[in-house]
Amino acid sequence: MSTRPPLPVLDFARIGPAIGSHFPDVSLPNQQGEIVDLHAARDGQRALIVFHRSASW
Amino acid sequence: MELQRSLPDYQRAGIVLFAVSYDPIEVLAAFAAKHGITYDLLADVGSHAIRALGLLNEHIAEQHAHYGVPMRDHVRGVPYPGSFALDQNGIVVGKWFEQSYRVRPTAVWLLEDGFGGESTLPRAVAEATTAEVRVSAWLSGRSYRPYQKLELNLEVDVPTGLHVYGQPVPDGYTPLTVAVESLDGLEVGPLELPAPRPVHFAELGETLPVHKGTFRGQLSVILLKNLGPVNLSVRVSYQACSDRSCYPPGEVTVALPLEGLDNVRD
Repeated sequence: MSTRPPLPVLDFARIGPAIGSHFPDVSLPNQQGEIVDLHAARDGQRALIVFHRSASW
Repeated sequence: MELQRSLPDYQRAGIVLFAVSYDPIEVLAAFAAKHGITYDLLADVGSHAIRALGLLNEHIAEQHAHYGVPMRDHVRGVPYPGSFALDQNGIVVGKWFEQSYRVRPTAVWLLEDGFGGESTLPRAVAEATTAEVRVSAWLSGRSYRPYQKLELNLEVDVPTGLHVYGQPVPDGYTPLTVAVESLDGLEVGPLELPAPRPVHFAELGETLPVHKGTFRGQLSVILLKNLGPVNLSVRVSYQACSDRSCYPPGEVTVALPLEGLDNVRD
């Protein structure tokens, strides 16, 4: 088996918003083209925000 | 899609779902229509929000080289794959990221472990009892897809008056260990157990780490390919003892039936 280059060492605790911090304001269009302000849309509820590569590949 | 199936459970727990990618609105609209997705898919065309949040994957070329995936231009601008849990005040209370774009936790796992919610989707459950212990095991679902990270939960019930050994123990003692029978492309994560309590045994003249009563452990399970229906066979080895005497080392096996599914592709 050929040796593959190693994965970079990533510390996800330091990448992106940290635990305990306020998640920054994000406003983006949704699949209907309506602008969604994330914090306004969750309307005082909890939220799960998933980041993924692409819906098309 | 996987999150969509759990959407009612998320709504019941008061959790709003958002998914962010760099896809244009039309791609998201087609994807949502095809898979019946009703939660918000957000279009971060140009990856401006992804970049502002510090989530732009700057190591994509190295990761692709490691996984043996050819590097293509369209992958520039992708975020690191992962999720954030926010509380009612918008504070980040959970964060789960992976190096690989294929590995991801299930929606049920995020709901139950990340938010303390409860899934009503069917799950694989198995239980077995020996003279000394009862072991039950369950998985976050009844099916798997390649590279999906499933959570295997174990509950061990040791009757009053008995204990089992934790780790580390000197030679001659059998600590509680869990082994998942190997399958082609099966990856099993480390077992997480509550810390055993050190107990001094005067008759042995030793202090040993023990587990008593009912306790739970977790480990992650990933199948790299769809093998069709499989039985995930989980063997728990232990030695049960009272303060005065020990049973011989024992083991108990539970089998969790799982349906194999292919990944959803557009």
